[in-house]
Amino acid sequence: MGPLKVLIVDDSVLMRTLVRRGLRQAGIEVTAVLEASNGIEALTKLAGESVDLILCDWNMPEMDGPTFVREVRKTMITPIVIITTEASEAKIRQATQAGVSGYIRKPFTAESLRVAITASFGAPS
Amino acid sequence: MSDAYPELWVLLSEAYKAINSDLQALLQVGVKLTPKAFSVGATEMGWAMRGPGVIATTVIEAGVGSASARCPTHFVFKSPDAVTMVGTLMLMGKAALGERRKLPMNEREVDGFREIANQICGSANLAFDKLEKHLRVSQNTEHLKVAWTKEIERSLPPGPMVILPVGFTLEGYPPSECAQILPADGVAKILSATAKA
Repeated sequence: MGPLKVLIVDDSVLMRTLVRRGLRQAGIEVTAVLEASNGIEALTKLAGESVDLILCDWNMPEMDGPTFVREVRKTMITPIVIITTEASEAKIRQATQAGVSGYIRKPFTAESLRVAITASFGAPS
Repeated sequence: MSDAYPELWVLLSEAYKAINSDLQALLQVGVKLTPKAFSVGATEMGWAMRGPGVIATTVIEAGVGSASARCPTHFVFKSPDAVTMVGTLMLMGKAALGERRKLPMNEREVDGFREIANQICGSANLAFDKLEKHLRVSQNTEHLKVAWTKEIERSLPPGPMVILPVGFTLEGYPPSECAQILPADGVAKILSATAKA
């Protein structure tokens, strides 16, 4: 897993800041971080440039996380890790069916972020 | 008066244990919400919840199928406490926070508190799942709304309410109080739906 170009999709500016901080604390090397506040905005960004990793919230206005993941999966195999407070088995199943590569429950730690991202690239954590 | 709603007390006590655990991990400081006995009606809240605050409103969904019910719920925090939580997450220094605590919450702080409210709902839902109760605090953005108000009491919904005052402590700051509020008729509906599920 080399240095990554990351897209963070979350309607909360605070949470996008926390995820950026988490990436730094987890020692994940990044070349660039793009941000979007919902699924539609994220799809627009992805139409213009490719990324190596997508970190995405569940509950967002306009287009929620699972819908966004299903849309991305129509054309891309980019690893997608969902970061959410939604932690029930049903929600995890729903996310998996949508095509996520990893699932992190909030509140997350730098370590849980590192483990999930590494695993989403198919490498041992 | 918690014996007036024993089933609700059990459910919410478990929820607040999960909320405490998660907020402590999120904020990485000693934050604790301690549920106290229920009271009914805004006047019983007394002076504690007057003044500026932030109200997170969402919906509790209970039960399954035709026996399901919905009830609005409100999480009410005093403005300085909400600002402190958001500011702590933003790594704001204590001096800067001291100034911010005196001012109305800005848009960025309200947005930040929405994430805290989302965490509160998610933690409660995890507790309800473990109890195997068909109960869920909606985290859908259509339901979960957060607003700052200059005067908490004037922004509370009309009609009889069940109020759960909750002790609030954040390391380095004086003890405070927040509250969870539900309309009394809604409480009866969700308890009935949960019992039938």
